[in-house]
Amino acid sequence: MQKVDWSIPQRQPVEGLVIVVLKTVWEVVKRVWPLLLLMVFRQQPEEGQDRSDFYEWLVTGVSVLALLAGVFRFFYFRFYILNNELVVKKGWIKKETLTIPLQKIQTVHIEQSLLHEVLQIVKLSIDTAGSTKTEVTIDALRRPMAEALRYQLLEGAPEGTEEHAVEAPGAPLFRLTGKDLFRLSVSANHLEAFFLLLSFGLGILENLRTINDNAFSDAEGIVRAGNALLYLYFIPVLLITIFLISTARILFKYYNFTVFGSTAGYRIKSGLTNVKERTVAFSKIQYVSWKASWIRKLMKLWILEYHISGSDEQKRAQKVHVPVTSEENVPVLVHNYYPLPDPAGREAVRIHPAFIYRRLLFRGLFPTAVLMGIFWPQWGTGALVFLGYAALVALHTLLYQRKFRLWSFDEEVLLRKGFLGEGFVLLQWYKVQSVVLRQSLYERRRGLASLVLHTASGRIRVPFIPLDTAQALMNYALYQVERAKRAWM
Amino acid sequence: MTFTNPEVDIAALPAAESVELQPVHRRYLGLLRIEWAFTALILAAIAAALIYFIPSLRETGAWTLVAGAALLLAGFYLLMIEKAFPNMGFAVREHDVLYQSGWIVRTLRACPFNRVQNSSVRSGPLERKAGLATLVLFTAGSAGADMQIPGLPQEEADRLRQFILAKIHTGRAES
Repeated sequence: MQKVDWSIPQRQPVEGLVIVVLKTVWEVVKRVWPLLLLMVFRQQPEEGQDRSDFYEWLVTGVSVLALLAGVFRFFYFRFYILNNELVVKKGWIKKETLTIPLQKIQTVHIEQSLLHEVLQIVKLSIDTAGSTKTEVTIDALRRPMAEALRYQLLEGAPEGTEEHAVEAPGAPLFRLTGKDLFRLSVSANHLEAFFLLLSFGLGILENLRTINDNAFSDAEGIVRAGNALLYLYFIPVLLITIFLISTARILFKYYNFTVFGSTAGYRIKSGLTNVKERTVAFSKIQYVSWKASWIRKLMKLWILEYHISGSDEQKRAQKVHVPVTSEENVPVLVHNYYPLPDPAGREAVRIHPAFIYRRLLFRGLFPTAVLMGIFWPQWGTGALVFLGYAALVALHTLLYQRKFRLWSFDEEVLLRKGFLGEGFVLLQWYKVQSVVLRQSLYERRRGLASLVLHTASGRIRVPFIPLDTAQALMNYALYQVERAKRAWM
Repeated sequence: MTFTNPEVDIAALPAAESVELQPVHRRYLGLLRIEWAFTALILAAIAAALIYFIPSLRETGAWTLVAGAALLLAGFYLLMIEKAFPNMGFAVREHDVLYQSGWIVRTLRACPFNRVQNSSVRSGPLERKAGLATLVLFTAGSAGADMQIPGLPQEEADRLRQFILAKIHTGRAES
């Protein structure tokens, strides 16, 4: 069992130097690639002329300097834990000391790329509540050391001269099988893959041509001729390619996906070539949501998300997603946050039908009228196409209003929402930061109100509910927050 | 220690909506009117520039539309200020602060002391001139979760800030 005294400054293992060298080479290539191109394609010097030139010296000089800087950075990198704070010291010429209170640490990730695997090391990165990007990255650590550090950072056990053991491995709560990965691939967002394909455009087409030269040269001919055969030949190839891209992305991301329930929190491990391990402390989770698009709902596939403090829209990198392949797994995956309540037989709060007309008017009819007014002089009756947008808004609003439910329980609140798909939110009342009750002139006339529950991980809106219900919910939320002795984070 | 778990009477919970709110200082209305005057001047300048630099506006008589729109905007802004001011008010309860504002959309915000991360008192040049300040309560919540109470006399804002800081420290010591 690995034991570490965290009060003593620690260094990265010497294997990390390989990572530093490769990282530096990559950084140099990224910065001086135009010069490298110039060197490769420059005119060959004539016989008798000096072959060395300015560019070669420049690139070599920059590379050596960058490499030296990287090596110095490596040897001057230290980290330790003192007075419940993680202290990171780095830099040689420009020295920097970073101090992070352990309570601010939200998630700790351990990653292992192929190179890390060869070197038998891992990379550890730390996200905090106060930053929009990863705050600290330790490029190289031996695994037992990384796990011990993760345990120390998330558990926040008292440090000092006393030695601490590594975290006990938790039991797997949930694991994705090969069949699950296939189902995820089928229901993946293929539009994303399509745009990815489009962005690479000709480059990818060129690569595919080398694989199946005949197929694509024929396809190009068909495109030029505008032949109807295009649809029989090119489109299926495109669709298969998009599906394969989606499958590859799912495979690389979710291969061997496992959720462990350890003492520190949920530990999520996945990846094919780049194995990532994220640990989310239970106390940092502000609320949990799970949702499914209509196609995923048909396939009983859900994407569950742990919303940790600070991970609002600006912090996408901190979001923790778990694909759930069966509805029965949801209670297991939310249990450590709060046991999933059963809303059966409980009265639900619903959105008032007035919401449909109001939203249709402001989000559907007004923009449609403006767009039609602008395009009518040129398009004539063709501008009626914008009525389709209004119809879409009407459909969306109607389905949203019908699907929405809020169930209030003693300690928690459960919401159901969605349009064609479905989504749930589970929030413990005491995690609320502040409450806002809003009433427009229209809502006031109809005796309605909208409620906004602000949490440290985003807001939850409950629009157009009866005023007395909104007031009761607000008062109850305040009562639960103000009586809570537990720390919300 | 005996564990108790009495049922909560929801109807008996303190009602935020029935608390009598303390209005913000009357001088704040004067400040809002000065701000309006500046905005109206800028609007008038924009409208005048449009009419001056686009000859077709003058030739076709469309300048009346531009001038009318500027007038309408300025008038509506003034109406918003006059109508919203009487709704502005705050209350400090034992465990939280309430603040109400707005006319077209009226909002009642509640910020519990045990969720306040930090607080500050700030005042711009106009506010300083009027002896007023804005109390800001920062929470860990998402955008829009913080509370700003404008139009407080400087001493009252400082006193409130001290009171809230003491509340935060008491809360932390208890938990």
